[in-house]
Order: sequence, then C-alpha cells, then structure tokens
Amino acid sequence: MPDLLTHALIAYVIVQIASWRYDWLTPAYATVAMAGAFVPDLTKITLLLPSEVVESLLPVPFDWGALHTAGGTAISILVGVALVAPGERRRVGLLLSVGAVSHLLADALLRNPSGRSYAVLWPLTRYHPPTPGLYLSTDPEPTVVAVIAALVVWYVTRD
Amino acid sequence: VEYHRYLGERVSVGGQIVDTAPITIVAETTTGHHVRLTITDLSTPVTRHRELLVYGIAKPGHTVRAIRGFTVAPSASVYAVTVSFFAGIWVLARIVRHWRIDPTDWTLVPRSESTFEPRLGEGRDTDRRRE
Repeated sequence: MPDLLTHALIAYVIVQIASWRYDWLTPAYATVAMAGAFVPDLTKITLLLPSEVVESLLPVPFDWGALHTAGGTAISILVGVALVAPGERRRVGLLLSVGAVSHLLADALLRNPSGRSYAVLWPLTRYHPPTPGLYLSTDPEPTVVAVIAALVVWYVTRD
Repeated sequence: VEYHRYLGERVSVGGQIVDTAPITIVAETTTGHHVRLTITDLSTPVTRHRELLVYGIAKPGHTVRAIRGFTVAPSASVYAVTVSFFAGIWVLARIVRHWRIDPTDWTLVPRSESTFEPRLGEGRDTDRRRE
C-alpha cells in the first residue's frame, strides 16, 4: 500500500487485539509493532539515494528493493533489536516482526496485471506467489477499513 | 538498455503515461535507466500522467503487446506522501513518549511507569493490566 498510515493502523489493530490476551503488551510495545510496520518501506531510501548510485560504487549488483522482502526485513529488524536494551530484545524482535510481516502480507495482496505478487520470501526463493488482487495501491478502501478497525479496537481496549 | 534480451518473453512493465496515441509510457529499468515503451492491444482506457501497469509480450521496437493492464494514480501522490508523513510523526511521537535512551549504554528502554506521566488514560490502563 502506498501510505504508511494504513500499515501502522494494521499493526496497531493486531497488537491491541493481542493485548487482550497478553498483559505485557503495553502501549510501549504496541508502538514497537507500529514501527515494525514501517520497516519494509525502508526501501524508499532509494528516493534519497538511488539504488543505481550505490551500485556504481559497489562491485556487486545492488537494489534497495531487497529491503522489501523477508530477508531484507529480517536484517533491518536485527538492527532495530540491537538498538534496545538486552532485556527487551526478545519482545522488541517479536513485535517488530509482527509489524513487518503484516506489511509484507498486506502488500502481497495487491492487484497486479500479471496476477502475481512480488518475491516476498527472497532470498529463500524468487517465487512470486499468486495475488488475490484485493486492492490497488491507490484504493482508499484499505485505509478506511484500517481506520474503522483501529477505532473499534481502541474503543474496546480503553478503560 | 538490454530490451532485446526480453524479446518474445512475457514481461511486467509500468510507468507514467506520456502519450495516448499510441500509448507510450516511460518505464524505469532495474538498472535505473528510463526507457520509452509503446503499449499496444490494451483494452482499458488511459489518460495522460496516470501510471500504467502492463503484463504482456515484449515485441521489437520497444513495443509491449498487452495481455492485461490497468492504470493507477501516481504512487507518489500528494495524498500518499502527506498521509505517510503524518503517520511517521505519529509513530515517532509514540516512540519518544514510551521509550527513552539509557545513557549508560546508549540503548532504548521503555519509560518506567514511575517516571512516566500518564496521558490519555494509557498510564492507568497499564496499571490496571499489571494488577
């Protein structure tokens, strides 16, 4: 999806619902999952520092697009985990993963002319799984649904 | 651009529509080059400046015969950029509110409830859950 708001709201909804069962899921940890939902879009760094500029400096092929895959996201999460105190690393790693996976899955459902999604599991496999094509990246519906779902879980979870 | 390597193959291409007769898009290659492609056999109507995504066959002369295709608003639209910017601010504010830098080893730690001023009822919420 094009906007980070939808991705952040999806992660928020997942973590708020999980907090009904897991008492340790405080708002601080919900924030971690929301930050995790931004992780795959680190690939947008290409707008500031184009992939081909980096590639021209390296002896190997290079594409920031790899950050928007399972492998690239795993590495980004490990960097995030290293930034927090040792006692928090397991929970933070888990919640960054929840957010990031929700982002990759939501994008894997995007409509494509080929009927195929992107190589979401790279570098394990270059397979492009079929996509149900539920929405276009520019459809407003996913955002509307995410906002409504977030308001409902916020209302249910509040005091 | 090594367009000829894809001749006769099925390709997925996309880019901004710069002409509609014939339909022409400017696509960016994986190596960062820009290439003008003519799209034929497309059944959906197109308008300039929208982005066209096409799945089709690569033909000689930088022409792609469309199997399926549709247009979308430019992904870097003002709306998407604005909404994403505010989402970033929102999550950043949450991080600052819920986490702090521990100066002894420069790592992030959750703000403990004793030093954390409850706002919007979230502090009380936490206390309730801890009971």
